Amino acid sequence: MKKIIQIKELPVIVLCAGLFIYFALRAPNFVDALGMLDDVKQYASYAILAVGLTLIIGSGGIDISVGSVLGFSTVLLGVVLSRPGSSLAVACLLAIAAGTAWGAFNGFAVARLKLQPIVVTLSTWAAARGLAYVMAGGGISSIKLPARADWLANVSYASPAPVVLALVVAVAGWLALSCCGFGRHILAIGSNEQAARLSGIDVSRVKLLVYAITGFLAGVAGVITAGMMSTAQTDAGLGYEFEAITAVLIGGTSISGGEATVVGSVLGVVAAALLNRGFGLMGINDLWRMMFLGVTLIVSVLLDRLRQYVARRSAKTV
Amino acid sequence: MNRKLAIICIALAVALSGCGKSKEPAAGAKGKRTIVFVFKLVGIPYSNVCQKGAEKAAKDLGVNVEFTGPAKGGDVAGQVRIIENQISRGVDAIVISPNDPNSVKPVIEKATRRGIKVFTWDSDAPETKRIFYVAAADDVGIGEDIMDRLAKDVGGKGKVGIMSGSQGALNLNQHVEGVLKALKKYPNIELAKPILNNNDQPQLAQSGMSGLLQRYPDLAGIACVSSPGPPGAARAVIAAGRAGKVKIWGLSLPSENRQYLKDGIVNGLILWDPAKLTYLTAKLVNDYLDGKKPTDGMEVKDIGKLKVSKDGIIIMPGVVITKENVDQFDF
Amino acid sequence: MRKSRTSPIPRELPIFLFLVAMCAALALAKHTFASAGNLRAMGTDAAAIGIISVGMTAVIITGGIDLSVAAILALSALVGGRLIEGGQTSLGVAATLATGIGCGALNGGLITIAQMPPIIATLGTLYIIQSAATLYSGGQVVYIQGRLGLLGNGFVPLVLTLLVFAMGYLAMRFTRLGRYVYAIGGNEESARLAGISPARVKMAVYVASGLLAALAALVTMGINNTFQANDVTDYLLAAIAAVVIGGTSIMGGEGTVLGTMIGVGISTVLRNGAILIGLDARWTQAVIGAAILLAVIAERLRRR
Repeated sequence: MKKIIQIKELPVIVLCAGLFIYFALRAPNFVDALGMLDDVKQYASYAILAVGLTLIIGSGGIDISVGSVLGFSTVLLGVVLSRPGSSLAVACLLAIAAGTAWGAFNGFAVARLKLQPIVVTLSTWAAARGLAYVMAGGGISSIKLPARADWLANVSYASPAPVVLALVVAVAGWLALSCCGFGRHILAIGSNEQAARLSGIDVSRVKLLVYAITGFLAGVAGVITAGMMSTAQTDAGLGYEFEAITAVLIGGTSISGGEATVVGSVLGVVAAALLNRGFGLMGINDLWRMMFLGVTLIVSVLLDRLRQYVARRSAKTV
Repeated sequence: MNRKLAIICIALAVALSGCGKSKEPAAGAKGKRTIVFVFKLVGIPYSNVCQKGAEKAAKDLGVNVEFTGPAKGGDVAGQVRIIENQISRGVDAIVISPNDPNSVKPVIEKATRRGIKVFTWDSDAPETKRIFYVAAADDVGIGEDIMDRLAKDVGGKGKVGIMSGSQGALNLNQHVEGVLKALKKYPNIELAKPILNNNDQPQLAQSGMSGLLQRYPDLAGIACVSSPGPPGAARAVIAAGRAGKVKIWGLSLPSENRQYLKDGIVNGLILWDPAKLTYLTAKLVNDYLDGKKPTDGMEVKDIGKLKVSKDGIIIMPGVVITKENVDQFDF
Repeated sequence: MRKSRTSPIPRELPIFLFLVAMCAALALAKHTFASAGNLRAMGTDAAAIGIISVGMTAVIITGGIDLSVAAILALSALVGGRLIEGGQTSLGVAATLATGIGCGALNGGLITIAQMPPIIATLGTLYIIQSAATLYSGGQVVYIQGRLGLLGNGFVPLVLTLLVFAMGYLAMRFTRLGRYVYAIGGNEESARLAGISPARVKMAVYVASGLLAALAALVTMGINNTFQANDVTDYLLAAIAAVVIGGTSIMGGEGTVLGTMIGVGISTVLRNGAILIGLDARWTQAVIGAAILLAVIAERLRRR
């Protein structure tokens, strides 16, 4: 029992299990492999964003601009592709590079200019979205992807590739966090930045990297989103940051930094996907889903505090 | 310990399964026919009125007619997810008003492959496998209509502005396209730039209009293509003391403009009855599922003659709302 | 203006000068900018956001944040608005204020009693309260029937907002609670050791934030004469932007209501000025983002 209580991901595991069992009993057609795969595919972008956010939050920062950076990458993809003769590969690379650039900008402002993450990413949130609108042109709400992008559309929509990609990103994130110095440095900075710096960690570099990585992932998510919708929508990614951060927090990563779990974040996204499928199949209004998300967020953080309290108590009585 | 935990989880879940509510499982092969309307979003007056039409159709036609949509406006991905859910349920027909016409192409294909009939209403997805589209008028045509009537009211000359909602909404952009197209017919009318965006927020509608009035003290009129536009513009015009001198035409609900119409501050609205539109669509879809295809010029009770074109667009007569007839409408 | 101990320049001076410069440039470009009519219009535009920004300032100074303000505004407006629509104006006004206080207390409770980090607590309540507002109203519009017209007339919104700013300024500068807010934000441990109760202070600021959101709800209903659940979703980021541009540090312990007032002024003038000079709406978002960044960099430089 003591060991189980130590698991940070406990609340989200219980949540996923509970949701699954509940919906399996109450929602018609819930347990359907193909259907579930489709739903999970829709959440692949969130999962990819959540991995990057886990690293950032673990380092004590935050990034509320991921949705806008996703949108910017999507629109850039659409704009580049609408030039005749441009290659799909180049367009995708540019989109991902743009995402990385935004992330690097965030990282630079946080690490070198020493500005607060929330305000930097607030300004990026507005600026990236605004520039996406400007790029798309006045009065354009979406750019249809041309025929040569069909490969992307097929891969994103008709195949499980997005899910596979999300899994790859998740594994990479998990490895980075748990198995090598980089991950240890991130968490050290998140726990106590001063101490980390004094112990020789290049805080600036690590911070720059986590924001740049997240920007990169947002760019990738932007490309996938464009593929799945067969269109580059100027509002793509709007609001994604809220849901992604919620998934990360539900997953057991601590907002104050120092404790992070990629597995938890991915499970948080899975919980959101299960909720969406379950409520959708039961015909329950989407607004109730929003409310449930809010309640879940609060309850899961409370439960996590409870868990930490019990873990500390039981550790003492060893 | 592991086992204990598992038992607790299961017990919890079983206990939870006692509460909560769900709709009837979808028909599929057995049970009542189910038609699901997936709108752009839920929780706004326009969608509520559409929903009333769907509910009336359910009663009159004796089939399940449901109405749903994402909670957030412009949520393209959320809408696709909801459509995927309907495919999982195995419903008989899905009727969509897409947030973005291209984004629903793959999911419509998938539904069609699974034997579900897909239609669109209110907003179209033209290059997809949807069987037909029911609308009051085409989005560009409505914009043109608004501009024509505004032009008449300003006497064919002067500066007129345009107010849209959010920059990312396709139907709004098409309305604006229509307004600009019609504008070309009037050489003595000049566009008062910039085109305003009110993001569907009344305060921005008002402040945008106030700003425009400051920029052009002799502004003659404004064409508003999104709902909060006309009332917001009206408030700004009243506050600036130019009520009646600045002509306002737009797309908005009569209930939000009733007093402004009567006082002559808003000159007129162009709209259609969203409930009737939804009801008509449900009826046509139901008929189609019975094997009866819609034909050009067909008469429908309470609605009038329908125009049906060969790429499946069905036009329901729209309505112009002015102070003379505004009280006839309760939405 | 409060002078900081390390620099002789009052902290609000740079942004104040920036605001003055912007206004001067706009007045030169388009003389109607400086007209009474335009001032009234800008005052009306700034009112609701200005009022909630005052509450947000205090919350941020304690080192927290309130992401649910716009949702609280919406829910209180709808709860009270329904009653006002039905003719019970005073009951409706009371209901609006009560809802705001109640929601603020909920936030405060989660943060003080349950010890939840403010960003999480208010993110959760944002979801809950916003969806509650739409579910409660069924998405329908509430018609105020002119019963709150007094609040929306002419210069009243501007005057009301300035009053709230004045009270906020005085409260933060001259009352004990105000000093406690700065103390908690500066160093919570030291404040606690000095005998200040962080829980009480934090509860007070979150309840105040909720109450001000309710007040902003009344003003909004007075101006627009209608209310719908989705009407104010932009207000949250606008309020945070105003507070940030005004020089309040997101870390807490520093910042002033005066700075926030200038921040509200800057963003209102930006929005109004953009239309006045004919700037395409597409650029507005990008410009706001740039403005926030510039403000934060300027604040950083000032502190060096």
